[in-house]
Amino acid sequence: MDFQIREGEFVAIVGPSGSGKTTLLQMLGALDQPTAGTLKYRGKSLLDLPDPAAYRAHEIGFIFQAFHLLPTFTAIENVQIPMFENHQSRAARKTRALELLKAVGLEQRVNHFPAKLSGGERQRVAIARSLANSPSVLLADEPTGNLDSESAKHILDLITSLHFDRRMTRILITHDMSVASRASRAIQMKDGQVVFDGDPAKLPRHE
Amino acid sequence: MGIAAVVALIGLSRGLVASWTAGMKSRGTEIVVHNMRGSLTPKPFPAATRDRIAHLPGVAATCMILVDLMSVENAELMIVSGREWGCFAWENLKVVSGRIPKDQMERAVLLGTTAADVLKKKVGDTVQIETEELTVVGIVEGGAFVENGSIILSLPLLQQITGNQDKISAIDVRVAAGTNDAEIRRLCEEMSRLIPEAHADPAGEHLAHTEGYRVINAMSWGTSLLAILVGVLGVTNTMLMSVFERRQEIAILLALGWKRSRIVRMILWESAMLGLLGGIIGVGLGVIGVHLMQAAPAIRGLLEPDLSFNLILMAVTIAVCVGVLSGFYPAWRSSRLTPSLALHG
Repeated sequence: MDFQIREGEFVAIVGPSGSGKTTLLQMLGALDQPTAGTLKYRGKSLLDLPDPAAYRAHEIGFIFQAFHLLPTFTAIENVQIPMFENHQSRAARKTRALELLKAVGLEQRVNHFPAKLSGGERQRVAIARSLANSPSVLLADEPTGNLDSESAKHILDLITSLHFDRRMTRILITHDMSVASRASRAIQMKDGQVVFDGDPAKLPRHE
Repeated sequence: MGIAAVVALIGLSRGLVASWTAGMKSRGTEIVVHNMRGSLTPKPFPAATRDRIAHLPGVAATCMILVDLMSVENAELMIVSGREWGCFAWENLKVVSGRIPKDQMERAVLLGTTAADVLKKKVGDTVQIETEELTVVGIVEGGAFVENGSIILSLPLLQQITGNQDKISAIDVRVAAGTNDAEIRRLCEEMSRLIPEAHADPAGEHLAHTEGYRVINAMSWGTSLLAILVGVLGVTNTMLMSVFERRQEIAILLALGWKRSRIVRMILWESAMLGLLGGIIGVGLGVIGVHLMQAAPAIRGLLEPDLSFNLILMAVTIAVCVGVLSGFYPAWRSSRLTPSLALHG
């Protein structure tokens, strides 16, 4: 496969299970490396990153399907996790986390542990966490996969508005065509190949 | 348990030296002439030895002592101390009840307060030492744990009872006022040269130099180290389990930009805290254990455990070091986890 994603684009990657969507996301996030081929970020190969951790911390914001909040951390502590490598003071981290939780409408739940939050609230904490270091790219792996339709709509609205306001590039993996339709571009994969790349409205309705 | 063993065993072995040192200090002894290099129990040597050192410049007073650890009535081990009549080793004894023996041949003993408690004796009762029945004429406070745990009688009486006529096991020496430590050491060397059958040491050091004490100390440390090794394996196992159970959590932290070095530090910190917690609990168990052991008839009145701040600090430091040491492998394992694990499950 060979494609480029421009800065600020909102791209939905769709395709059946096993088509390689998650593997692609792992490689885009420098969580894994390809055995062949190259990946470039702003003209530089991701394979030659001197510090993949710094790339993940400062350039990428992750949202996972299963939220992946640390159960022993409160909402505000979870949001601070990506900021630990920034050499910020504890107070500065807390202020920033509070600001982000307010932005996702969770200012009343900052000291709640994930177990005390609903699925939608957990994903909102995860969205706040993904914005912690003001990254350039958002990688979201089925962010609405574990949510009811109302919560899913709210989360998508948040992703659309918050990340658009920050001019982030958004790459979202989904099975759901209605979710993909919110993007400005859809890439459909099958067996590790791109079979469609274009306007989400023109996506073939079968997977 | 390793830390409890350190506190209990090392506390007891150090207490052995500390107790005997305190006993000698309370008697005003500055140098001890003895023959116990090869064992913990003193070996008798001729009383005439005293005559060869008493005249040395710097020696202010001497006191011949015959001391032994004996089974007395219901007590398995008691310190029985025969002292030269009228010497300075009687001066520190404060009579709590009764009196001091009238003369050196009165068939009487004094009991330290703890000894009286252990033997359940009061003034007027009798105490059987070997085949002799002696009257308790006084209960005394000796100013030190060992003194209070002793049965004290005149030297000739104990020599007669134990068949050690003209034999003693120690000479307590007081030096002239103003003698400094270096001069005391020089005096010890000179005494040791003059009396090849015995050895002179500054008070408090003679026990630590003995083979017996070294064996006890080595066994205490050996047992403690074995217990510590078991502790290392236990903490390593706990931390490995923790890392295994939290591998996705660690992968998430890596995915969110944490460096591997931070993960290593986090695991080592947790491991150190686990060690600290274990250390605090171990110290508590050790202190309880020591007090239980101290109440045992075989030990009661013989020695006072050294549960000093230094020992507690050393035990807690060992516990934290054990924690850090045990955390290395789990920390290394956790740092090898791949961040892509975060996207699974």
